[in-house]
Parts: sequence; structure tokens; C-alpha cells
Amino acid sequence: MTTTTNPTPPLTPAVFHILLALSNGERHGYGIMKQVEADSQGKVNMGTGTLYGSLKRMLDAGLVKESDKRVDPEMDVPMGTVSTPPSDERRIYYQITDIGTKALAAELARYNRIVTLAQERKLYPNTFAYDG
Amino acid sequence: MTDDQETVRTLYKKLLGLYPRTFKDRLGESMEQTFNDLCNEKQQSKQGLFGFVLWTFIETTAGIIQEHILLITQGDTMKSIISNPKSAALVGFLLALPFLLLNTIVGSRMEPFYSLIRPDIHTSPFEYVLLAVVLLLLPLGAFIAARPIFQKGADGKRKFYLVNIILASILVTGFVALSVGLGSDIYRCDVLQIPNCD
Repeated sequence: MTTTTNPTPPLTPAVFHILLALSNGERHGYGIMKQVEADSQGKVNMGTGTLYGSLKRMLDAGLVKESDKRVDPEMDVPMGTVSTPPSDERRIYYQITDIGTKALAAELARYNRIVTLAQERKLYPNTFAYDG
Repeated sequence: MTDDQETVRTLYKKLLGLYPRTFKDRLGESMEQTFNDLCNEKQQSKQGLFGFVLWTFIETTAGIIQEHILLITQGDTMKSIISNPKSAALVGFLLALPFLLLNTIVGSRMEPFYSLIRPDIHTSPFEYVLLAVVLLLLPLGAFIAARPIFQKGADGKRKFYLVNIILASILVTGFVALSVGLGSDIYRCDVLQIPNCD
């Protein structure tokens, strides 16, 4: 039996969801929250404390980096109504780094191995048929 | 923007000021923007602000405590925190927050936390333990807040930090008053079981 050592430790659920949200493009904080909510079909609702606590550690670990501040055209410009005047607020965007991409891939491979194992043992999908 | 929203945003900005400086300098602005975006979302969807604001404030407070704990556990930071009068006062104040939070939850019967702390009408053993722990944080906070006053500076003299003295005094007075008051209530109601002792 051969064993392989994986250099990347397992990610916390918050870090995993943030990396997944950033995997298809840069996002600002609110954009990450909304993407996490969409990716998890509303099951993960991350608060600002959790999001930015995780982002701080991810920035320190080099998993993500800040990109230039800029206006989000989808959020700020079309909101111009009487109650919400148009703003041109410049937002800080975050983007995944090469290290982040590798860590996400390693985590997905880990999930894949677990699912394969569960299928081999005939545990999945029948055991966890929430909708059944 | 309504006055309520303006107040909430100002309070949140002040809350963010309690994060460690390095965290605040790096992410404070982005956090504030995200909170404002969430407020706008609630306003546009005509959802009530109260539940969202309460949850966000509690969650952010937990994040602040976590960041300070991380700072303390990293290297020699504890020594520098308790020797710096401002950070010592801040830690002292933060240690009083759990008691204030518990008091608010029980006093206003805030769900779902109230049911978790007190599953039936009587005070649960868990609540007694929780109360003892949060009460003991008060003298610990007073000790940390007062620590810089007892330290001699480079010139060999002690310095007088008014805010630290006031905070430590409030925490000690509060701890003594609460311990005596709650202790006598618990003794009469739960030990002696005097009817209608409330």
C-alpha cells in the first residue's frame, strides 16, 4: 500500500467557501458573502466577523490578495433612486492567488476521495438522502 | 437613509474600532463597506433591520474577542498589552462584555439564546456556571486594566492613568455589588427556598 503525503492541511469551512467564491473572479466583501450564499444554496450565511477574520488569516497565508480599489458598476451606479442616490464608492477587491488555487484544488481532491470512498462503501447517496 | 440606519452605521464603525490596530487598519474600511452594503440590501428588500443588526453586532463582537485572543496567544503580546495603558483598558472593558451580554439576554429574554441558557422557568445549573464565569471576568478585567498603574516606568516612577483607574474601580465595585446582590438572592431563593423571594 502506498501512502502520499499532502503538503496542504485541510481548510476550515469558511476558508474553503471563500476560496470557492473567489475561484471564478475577484470580488469585494459583500460579493464574497453573496457568492458563498449562492454556492451553498443559502445554507451557509457568513457574517462580517467570520468573513474578515478568515480573510485576514488568508491574506497572511498568501491564499488571497487585495487588488486595486474600484467602483462596482453593478452595485453602485444602477441604485440611483430617490432613496438611494448613486454612489461611486471605491471598493476593495480580493483575488485568489496561486497558493490559494492549489489549496482549493487539494481540498476538492480530498472531498473527492471521501465521496469515492463513501460510494465504494455504498454509503452515498442513499445514506444522506435529505430530500428523499 | 433613515436616522436609524445612520445610527446603526455609526455604532458599527465604533464597534470596528475595538479590533486590534493592525486588523482595523487593514480590513476596517472593507468591513464597513460590506456592512453598509448589507444595510442597503435590507432596506431595498424592506426587511427589518433589528434581527440583522443584532446578529451582526454579536458576530462581530465575537470576531473582535477572537482577534484579541489570537494577538495575546502569539508570542509576547500579553506582556505588551498589559503594560500599555490603552490596550490594558480595552482588554479590561472587553472582559466586562460577556456579563453585559448575558444580562441583556436574560433581562430581555432574547431568543434563541434565552432558551439555551434557561430551558425551563427555573435557573439552570448551566446558567449558574455561566454567571460565575462571566462574573469572575470582572475582577480579571479590573486587574488587567489596573496593571499599568502599578508598573514603574523607565524613570522608576509609577504613572497615574485616570481611565484605567476609573475602569478598574467600576469593575471591582460592580463585581462586589453583583456578587453580594446575586449571592443573597440565590441563597434566599434557591438554598432557603423562601416563597416569592423575588
